[in-house]
Amino acid sequence: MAYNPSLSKSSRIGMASLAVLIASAALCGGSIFAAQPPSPPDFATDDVTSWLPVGDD
Amino acid sequence: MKTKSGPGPITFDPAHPYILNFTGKHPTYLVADLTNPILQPWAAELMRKANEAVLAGHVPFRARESCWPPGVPTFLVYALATPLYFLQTRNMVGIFYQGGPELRHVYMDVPHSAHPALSWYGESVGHYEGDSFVVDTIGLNERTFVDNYRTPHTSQLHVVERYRLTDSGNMLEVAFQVEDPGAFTTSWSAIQRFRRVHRAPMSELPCVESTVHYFNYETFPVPIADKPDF
Repeated sequence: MAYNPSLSKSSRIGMASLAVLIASAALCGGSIFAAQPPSPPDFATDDVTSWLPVGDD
Repeated sequence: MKTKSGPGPITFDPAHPYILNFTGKHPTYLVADLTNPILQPWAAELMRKANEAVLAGHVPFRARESCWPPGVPTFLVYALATPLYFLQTRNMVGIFYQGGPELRHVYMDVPHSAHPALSWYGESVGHYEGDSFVVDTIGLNERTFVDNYRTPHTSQLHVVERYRLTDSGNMLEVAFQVEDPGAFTTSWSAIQRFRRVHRAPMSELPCVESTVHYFNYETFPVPIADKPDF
């Protein structure tokens, strides 16, 4: 393919935009994920899940 | 079992070690260690008499053996060979032992009643706190013990349990705190652990369906209704 300055310029702009987008996602996404509370425990994942005591009484 | 620090539950008297069944050794009954400082004098005295009866050769009371509701927190050590099941819904969490069956209801995200009626399992309210399921129980009648060592309590008993999964979800750990200014000198804590098993859906296993005769084996009488249900 022949060299095309306009394509190169738009590519540079596109790459910069992409970098800003990734950085924003990382920053915002990271803070969003960090704020996620842990899921409540599921003690009955199916109808055969049960729990046997361990140790003495 | 005991936590790493702080006042802990009654355990066996070192002079009379507890030996579980199916260990290859002659099993023993539980003889409580009465040097535990959590006990108020009246409670220690009751337990001393119970210990003496065991050492004299009598069969001690154990809720599961005689099909009596165990109360809280004895529910956590009720049966060693029968698994515990959960039913988790938005408003209520049910915790079951299929033998009996024994069932606790934990009502979610509601406050306690001002004056709950006393009952075998009291009034339990719960909520999720991070990765834990927290259960707060009051309103327990005085017909149960707090363990299998026959440790008594009063209706002032207050138990807070924290259930959480450990070991990548293969273990369930229940850390609980017990308060009862009528029976104990201080609040105390303990931990019970369970391992996940996949056996079968919960089945119905009546405990007192028919006349029970253990060939004159001395056990506490099973519950008997004064009148038929229908």
